[in-house]
Amino acid sequence: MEPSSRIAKARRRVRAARYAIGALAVAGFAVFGAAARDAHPATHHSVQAAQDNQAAQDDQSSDSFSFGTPSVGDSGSAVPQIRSSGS
Amino acid sequence: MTTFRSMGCTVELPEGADDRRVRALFDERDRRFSRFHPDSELSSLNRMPLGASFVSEELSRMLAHALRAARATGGLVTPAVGAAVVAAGYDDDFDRLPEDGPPVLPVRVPSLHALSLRGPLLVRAEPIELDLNCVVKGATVDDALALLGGGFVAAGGDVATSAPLVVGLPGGDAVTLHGGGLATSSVTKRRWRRGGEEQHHLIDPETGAPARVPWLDVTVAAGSCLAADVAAKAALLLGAAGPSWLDRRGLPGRFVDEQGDVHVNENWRQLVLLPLAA
Repeated sequence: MEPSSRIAKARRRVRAARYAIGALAVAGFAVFGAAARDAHPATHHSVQAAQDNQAAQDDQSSDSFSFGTPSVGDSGSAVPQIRSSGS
Repeated sequence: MTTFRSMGCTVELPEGADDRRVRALFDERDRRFSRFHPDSELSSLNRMPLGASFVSEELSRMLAHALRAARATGGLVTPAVGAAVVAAGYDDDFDRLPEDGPPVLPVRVPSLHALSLRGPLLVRAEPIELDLNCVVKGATVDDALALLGGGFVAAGGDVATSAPLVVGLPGGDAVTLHGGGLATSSVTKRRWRRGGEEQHHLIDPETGAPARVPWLDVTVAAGSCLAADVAAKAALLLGAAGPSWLDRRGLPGRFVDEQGDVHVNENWRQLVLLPLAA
Protein backbone atom coordinates (compact mmCIF):
# COMPACT_ATOMS: atom_id res chain seq x y z
CA MET A 1 0.00 0.00 0.00
CA GLU A 2 2.94 2.31 0.58
CA PRO A 3 3.75 2.83 -3.12
CA SER A 4 0.11 3.66 -3.95
CA SER A 5 0.06 6.07 -0.96
CA ARG A 6 3.08 7.86 -2.37
CA ILE A 7 1.36 8.01 -5.73
CA ALA A 8 -1.75 9.42 -4.05
CA LYS A 9 0.34 12.05 -2.27
CA ALA A 10 2.07 12.95 -5.52
CA ARG A 11 -1.31 13.30 -7.23
CA ARG A 12 -2.51 15.58 -4.43
CA ARG A 13 0.58 17.73 -4.81
CA VAL A 14 0.07 17.92 -8.56
CA ARG A 15 -3.58 18.86 -8.00
CA ALA A 16 -2.60 21.57 -5.48
CA ALA A 17 0.03 22.90 -7.87
CA ARG A 18 -2.54 23.04 -10.68
CA TYR A 19 -4.93 24.99 -8.46
CA ALA A 20 -2.13 27.39 -7.48
CA ILE A 21 -1.11 27.93 -11.09
CA GLY A 22 -4.75 28.43 -12.07
CA ALA A 23 -5.34 30.94 -9.27
CA LEU A 24 -2.19 32.87 -10.19
CA ALA A 25 -3.21 32.94 -13.86
CA VAL A 26 -6.70 34.23 -12.96
CA ALA A 27 -5.22 36.90 -10.68
CA GLY A 28 -2.70 37.96 -13.34
CA PHE A 29 -5.39 38.07 -15.99
CA ALA A 30 -7.59 40.20 -13.70
CA VAL A 31 -4.75 42.71 -13.04
CA PHE A 32 -3.91 42.97 -16.74
CA GLY A 33 -7.59 43.24 -17.65
CA ALA A 34 -8.13 46.05 -15.13
CA ALA A 35 -5.09 47.94 -16.44
CA ALA A 36 -6.13 47.46 -20.06
CA ARG A 37 -9.68 48.52 -19.28
CA ASP A 38 -8.34 51.63 -17.61
CA ALA A 39 -6.37 52.55 -20.72
CA HIS A 40 -9.27 51.90 -23.10
CA PRO A 41 -10.76 55.09 -24.61
CA ALA A 42 -14.34 54.03 -23.84
CA THR A 43 -13.51 53.61 -20.18
CA HIS A 44 -11.96 57.05 -20.05
CA HIS A 45 -15.02 58.59 -21.63
CA SER A 46 -17.27 56.92 -19.10
CA VAL A 47 -14.96 57.99 -16.29
CA GLN A 48 -15.07 61.54 -17.56
CA ALA A 49 -18.82 61.43 -17.97
CA ALA A 50 -19.29 60.18 -14.46
CA GLN A 51 -16.67 62.58 -13.11
CA ASP A 52 -15.19 59.77 -11.16
CA ASN A 53 -12.74 61.77 -9.11
CA GLN A 54 -11.43 58.76 -7.27
CA ALA A 55 -10.26 57.16 -10.49
CA ALA A 56 -8.59 60.42 -11.47
CA GLN A 57 -6.80 60.59 -8.14
CA ASP A 58 -5.55 57.04 -8.58
CA ASP A 59 -3.86 57.93 -11.86
CA GLN A 60 -0.60 59.55 -10.83
CA SER A 61 -0.43 61.54 -14.05
CA SER A 62 -3.81 63.22 -13.62
CA ASP A 63 -2.87 65.88 -11.07
CA SER A 64 -2.54 69.29 -12.61
CA PHE A 65 0.52 70.72 -14.27
CA SER A 66 1.65 73.97 -12.67
CA PHE A 67 3.02 76.72 -14.88
CA GLY A 68 4.06 78.63 -11.74
CA THR A 69 4.67 82.33 -11.44
CA PRO A 70 7.04 83.95 -13.92
CA SER A 71 9.66 86.32 -12.58
CA VAL A 72 11.03 88.31 -15.47
CA GLY A 73 11.74 91.97 -16.16
CA ASP A 74 13.62 94.32 -18.41
CA SER A 75 17.38 93.98 -18.60
CA GLY A 76 18.23 97.68 -18.76
CA SER A 77 21.29 97.83 -20.93
CA ALA A 78 23.01 94.90 -19.32
CA VAL A 79 24.96 92.55 -21.55
CA PRO A 80 23.38 89.06 -21.73
CA GLN A 81 25.17 86.47 -19.63
CA ILE A 82 23.65 83.63 -21.65
CA ARG A 83 21.39 83.27 -24.68
CA SER A 84 18.06 81.50 -25.09
CA SER A 85 18.34 80.85 -28.78
CA GLY A 86 15.80 78.09 -29.07
CA SER A 87 15.68 74.34 -29.28
CA MET B 1 31.24 79.92 -17.80
CA THR B 2 31.49 76.14 -17.47
CA THR B 3 30.14 74.27 -20.50
CA PHE B 4 29.79 70.72 -21.78
CA ARG B 5 27.82 68.91 -24.49
CA SER B 6 24.90 66.60 -23.70
CA MET B 7 21.45 65.82 -25.12
CA GLY B 8 22.59 67.26 -28.45
CA CYS B 9 23.15 70.77 -27.05
CA THR B 10 25.58 72.85 -25.03
CA VAL B 11 24.92 72.95 -21.28
CA GLU B 12 26.08 76.10 -19.50
CA LEU B 13 26.74 76.59 -15.77
CA PRO B 14 28.27 79.45 -13.76
CA GLU B 15 32.05 79.72 -13.85
CA GLY B 16 33.58 77.46 -11.24
CA ALA B 17 30.43 75.38 -10.67
CA ASP B 18 31.05 71.74 -9.86
CA ASP B 19 29.83 70.30 -13.14
CA ARG B 20 30.54 66.61 -12.47
CA ARG B 21 27.19 65.72 -10.90
CA VAL B 22 25.29 67.88 -13.39
CA ARG B 23 27.09 66.28 -16.31
CA ALA B 24 26.38 62.83 -14.88
CA LEU B 25 22.69 63.73 -14.52
CA PHE B 26 22.40 64.96 -18.13
CA ASP B 27 24.27 61.96 -19.50
CA GLU B 28 22.21 59.49 -17.47
CA ARG B 29 18.95 61.07 -18.65
CA ASP B 30 20.20 61.10 -22.23
CA ARG B 31 21.09 57.39 -22.05
CA ARG B 32 17.74 56.49 -20.52
CA PHE B 33 15.36 58.69 -22.53
CA SER B 34 16.96 59.02 -25.96
CA ARG B 35 15.05 57.64 -28.94
CA PHE B 36 18.36 57.23 -30.72
CA HIS B 37 20.26 54.96 -28.33
CA PRO B 38 19.05 51.43 -29.18
CA ASP B 39 19.74 50.27 -25.62
CA SER B 40 17.93 53.17 -23.88
CA GLU B 41 14.92 52.32 -21.76
CA LEU B 42 12.73 54.43 -24.05
CA SER B 43 13.92 52.60 -27.18
CA SER B 44 13.24 49.29 -25.49
CA LEU B 45 9.73 50.48 -24.59
CA ASN B 46 9.10 51.68 -28.15
CA ARG B 47 10.09 48.32 -29.62
CA MET B 48 6.93 46.90 -27.95
CA PRO B 49 4.54 49.86 -28.29
CA LEU B 50 1.33 48.09 -27.20
CA GLY B 51 -0.01 46.61 -23.97
CA ALA B 52 1.21 46.70 -20.40
CA SER B 53 4.83 47.45 -19.51
CA PHE B 54 6.66 47.97 -16.25
CA VAL B 55 8.98 50.97 -16.36
CA SER B 56 11.69 52.31 -14.05
CA GLU B 57 10.91 54.90 -11.39
CA GLU B 58 12.79 57.52 -13.44
CA LEU B 59 10.84 56.78 -16.60
CA SER B 60 7.58 56.71 -14.67
CA ARG B 61 8.36 60.15 -13.24
CA MET B 62 9.21 61.58 -16.68
CA LEU B 63 6.10 60.02 -18.23
CA ALA B 64 4.00 61.54 -15.45
CA HIS B 65 5.48 64.98 -16.31
CA ALA B 66 4.71 64.38 -19.98
CA LEU B 67 1.12 63.29 -19.36
CA ARG B 68 0.45 66.25 -17.08
CA ALA B 69 1.93 68.59 -19.67
CA ALA B 70 -0.20 67.00 -22.37
CA ARG B 71 -3.39 67.47 -20.35
CA ALA B 72 -2.45 71.06 -19.44
CA THR B 73 -2.02 71.89 -23.13
CA GLY B 74 -5.12 70.12 -24.39
CA GLY B 75 -2.99 67.39 -25.96
CA LEU B 76 -0.79 69.79 -27.98
CA VAL B 77 2.45 68.90 -26.20
CA THR B 78 2.13 65.13 -26.10
CA PRO B 79 4.55 62.24 -25.66
CA ALA B 80 2.53 60.21 -28.19
CA VAL B 81 4.25 61.80 -31.21
CA GLY B 82 7.14 59.29 -31.43
CA ALA B 83 5.94 57.61 -34.62
CA ALA B 84 5.02 60.96 -36.22
CA VAL B 85 8.49 62.42 -35.57
CA VAL B 86 10.10 59.32 -37.08
CA ALA B 87 7.70 59.45 -40.05
CA ALA B 88 8.78 63.05 -40.68
CA GLY B 89 12.34 61.76 -41.01
CA TYR B 90 13.76 62.52 -37.54
CA ASP B 91 14.92 58.96 -36.96
CA ASP B 92 18.51 59.52 -35.82
CA ASP B 93 20.63 62.00 -33.87
CA PHE B 94 20.10 65.32 -35.60
CA ASP B 95 23.81 65.63 -36.44
CA ARG B 96 23.58 62.39 -38.43
CA LEU B 97 20.36 63.18 -40.36
CA PRO B 98 20.79 63.51 -44.13
CA GLU B 99 19.77 66.97 -45.35
CA ASP B 100 17.19 65.53 -47.74
CA GLY B 101 15.64 62.15 -48.48
CA PRO B 102 12.57 60.43 -49.92
CA PRO B 103 9.17 62.14 -49.48
CA VAL B 104 7.37 61.43 -46.21
CA LEU B 105 3.72 61.17 -45.17
CA PRO B 106 2.31 62.19 -41.78
CA VAL B 107 0.97 59.53 -39.42
CA ARG B 108 -1.88 59.87 -36.96
CA VAL B 109 -0.92 60.88 -33.42
CA PRO B 110 -2.70 58.55 -30.95
CA SER B 111 -5.07 59.98 -28.37
CA LEU B 112 -3.92 60.47 -24.79
CA HIS B 113 -6.86 58.34 -23.71
CA ALA B 114 -4.97 55.30 -24.96
CA LEU B 115 -2.21 55.92 -22.40
CA SER B 116 -2.45 55.10 -18.73
CA LEU B 117 0.24 55.28 -16.05
CA ARG B 118 -0.08 53.91 -12.52
CA GLY B 119 3.23 53.91 -10.70
CA PRO B 120 5.55 51.69 -12.72
CA LEU B 121 2.72 50.21 -14.85
CA LEU B 122 2.30 51.82 -18.27
CA VAL B 123 -0.58 50.60 -20.42
CA ARG B 124 -0.97 51.48 -24.08
CA ALA B 125 -4.34 50.46 -25.50
CA GLU B 126 -3.14 51.08 -29.05
CA PRO B 127 0.38 51.15 -30.50
CA ILE B 128 2.08 54.30 -29.20
CA GLU B 129 5.72 55.16 -29.73
CA LEU B 130 6.76 57.63 -27.08
CA ASP B 131 8.92 60.73 -27.46
CA LEU B 132 9.80 62.45 -24.18
CA ASN B 133 11.60 65.33 -25.85
CA CYS B 134 8.73 67.52 -24.66
CA VAL B 135 9.79 67.31 -21.01
CA VAL B 136 13.19 65.65 -20.52
CA LYS B 137 15.44 68.65 -21.16
CA GLY B 138 13.32 71.14 -19.19
CA ALA B 139 12.97 68.80 -16.21
CA THR B 140 16.68 67.99 -16.29
CA VAL B 141 17.62 71.69 -16.28
CA ASP B 142 15.40 72.18 -13.19
CA ASP B 143 16.85 69.10 -11.49
CA ALA B 144 20.40 70.19 -12.32
CA LEU B 145 19.79 73.59 -10.71
CA ALA B 146 18.54 71.84 -7.56
CA LEU B 147 21.66 69.67 -7.65
CA LEU B 148 23.90 72.74 -7.88
CA GLY B 149 22.01 74.36 -5.00
CA GLY B 150 21.80 77.72 -6.79
CA GLY B 151 23.14 79.77 -9.69
CA PHE B 152 21.82 78.89 -13.13
CA VAL B 153 21.67 76.08 -15.67
CA ALA B 154 21.07 76.59 -19.38
CA ALA B 155 20.74 73.95 -22.09
CA GLY B 156 19.93 74.71 -25.71
CA GLY B 157 17.53 77.58 -25.11
CA ASP B 158 16.15 76.31 -21.79
CA VAL B 159 17.20 78.24 -18.67
CA ALA B 160 16.59 77.88 -14.93
CA THR B 161 18.01 80.28 -12.38
CA SER B 162 17.80 81.08 -8.69
CA ALA B 163 19.35 84.56 -9.02
CA PRO B 164 18.90 87.44 -11.50
CA LEU B 165 20.31 86.48 -14.88
CA VAL B 166 20.37 88.54 -18.08
CA VAL B 167 19.27 86.32 -20.94
CA GLY B 168 19.69 87.20 -24.62
CA LEU B 169 16.70 86.48 -26.87
CA PRO B 170 16.27 85.64 -30.55
CA GLY B 171 16.45 88.85 -32.58
CA GLY B 172 18.72 90.70 -30.18
CA ASP B 173 16.70 91.78 -27.12
CA ALA B 174 17.43 90.69 -23.57
CA VAL B 175 15.48 90.21 -20.34
CA THR B 176 16.39 89.71 -16.72
CA LEU B 177 15.15 86.40 -15.38
CA HIS B 178 14.92 86.86 -11.61
CA GLY B 179 14.08 83.23 -10.86
CA GLY B 180 12.25 80.22 -12.25
CA GLY B 181 12.61 79.29 -15.89
CA LEU B 182 12.67 80.68 -19.40
CA ALA B 183 12.59 78.70 -22.63
CA THR B 184 12.57 79.38 -26.33
CA SER B 185 10.92 76.94 -28.68
CA SER B 186 12.03 77.28 -32.27
CA VAL B 187 11.36 75.82 -35.70
CA THR B 188 14.61 77.24 -37.04
CA LYS B 189 17.05 75.01 -35.20
CA ARG B 190 16.33 71.40 -36.04
CA ARG B 191 15.22 71.48 -39.69
CA TRP B 192 15.74 69.04 -42.54
CA ARG B 193 14.14 68.19 -45.88
CA ARG B 194 12.29 65.15 -47.14
CA GLY B 195 11.17 65.06 -50.76
CA GLY B 196 12.41 68.65 -50.96
CA GLU B 197 9.93 69.80 -48.28
CA GLU B 198 11.05 71.51 -45.07
CA GLN B 199 10.51 69.45 -41.91
CA HIS B 200 11.11 70.24 -38.23
CA HIS B 201 10.74 68.50 -34.89
CA LEU B 202 7.56 70.16 -33.54
CA ILE B 203 4.65 67.95 -34.58
CA ASP B 204 1.08 69.24 -34.78
CA PRO B 205 -0.96 66.42 -33.18
CA GLU B 206 -3.94 67.34 -35.38
CA THR B 207 -2.11 66.61 -38.63
CA GLY B 208 0.71 64.34 -37.48
CA ALA B 209 3.10 66.51 -39.52
CA PRO B 210 5.55 69.28 -38.55
CA ALA B 211 3.42 72.28 -37.55
CA ARG B 212 2.91 75.04 -40.12
CA VAL B 213 2.83 78.12 -37.89
CA PRO B 214 3.51 81.86 -38.26
CA TRP B 215 6.21 81.85 -35.56
CA LEU B 216 9.88 81.02 -35.87
CA ASP B 217 10.68 81.41 -32.16
CA VAL B 218 8.51 81.62 -29.05
CA THR B 219 10.05 82.56 -25.69
CA VAL B 220 8.14 82.08 -22.43
CA ALA B 221 8.99 82.69 -18.76
CA ALA B 222 7.35 80.54 -16.07
CA GLY B 223 7.85 79.19 -12.58
CA SER B 224 10.26 76.48 -13.77
CA CYS B 225 12.19 75.60 -16.89
CA LEU B 226 9.93 72.60 -17.51
CA ALA B 227 6.82 74.78 -17.35
CA ALA B 228 8.37 77.45 -19.59
CA ASP B 229 9.42 74.85 -22.17
CA VAL B 230 6.01 73.18 -22.28
CA ALA B 231 4.24 76.56 -22.52
CA ALA B 232 6.59 77.78 -25.29
CA LYS B 233 5.95 74.64 -27.34
CA ALA B 234 2.18 74.91 -26.87
CA ALA B 235 2.16 78.62 -27.75
CA LEU B 236 4.19 77.96 -30.88
CA LEU B 237 1.91 75.11 -31.98
CA LEU B 238 -1.19 77.27 -31.39
CA GLY B 239 -0.05 79.79 -34.01
CA ALA B 240 -2.04 83.02 -33.88
CA ALA B 241 -3.82 81.88 -30.71
CA GLY B 242 -0.53 81.43 -28.84
CA PRO B 243 -0.24 84.91 -27.27
CA SER B 244 -3.74 84.89 -25.73
CA TRP B 245 -3.33 81.26 -24.56
CA LEU B 246 -0.30 82.37 -22.55
CA ASP B 247 -2.11 85.46 -21.25
CA ARG B 248 -4.91 83.31 -19.87
CA ARG B 249 -2.31 81.39 -17.86
CA GLY B 250 -0.54 84.50 -16.59
CA LEU B 251 2.57 83.79 -18.65
CA PRO B 252 4.64 86.32 -20.60
CA GLY B 253 5.44 85.33 -24.18
CA ARG B 254 7.55 86.80 -26.96
CA PHE B 255 7.02 85.72 -30.57
CA VAL B 256 9.28 86.18 -33.61
CA ASP B 257 7.43 85.82 -36.92
CA GLU B 258 8.72 84.70 -40.32
CA GLN B 259 9.66 88.27 -41.25
CA GLY B 260 11.73 88.60 -38.08
CA ASP B 261 9.24 90.98 -36.45
CA VAL B 262 8.80 90.63 -32.70
CA HIS B 263 5.33 90.37 -31.09
CA VAL B 264 4.64 90.16 -27.36
CA ASN B 265 1.55 89.21 -25.40
CA GLU B 266 -0.08 91.39 -22.75
CA ASN B 267 1.79 89.74 -19.86
CA TRP B 268 5.14 90.34 -21.51
CA ARG B 269 4.15 93.96 -22.13
CA GLN B 270 3.22 94.40 -18.46
CA LEU B 271 6.27 92.68 -17.00
CA VAL B 272 9.04 93.62 -19.41
CA LEU B 273 8.14 96.58 -21.64
CA LEU B 274 6.04 98.89 -19.44
CA PRO B 275 8.58 99.10 -16.58
CA LEU B 276 11.17 99.96 -19.24
CA ALA B 277 9.01 102.80 -20.60
CA ALA B 278 8.19 104.20 -17.14
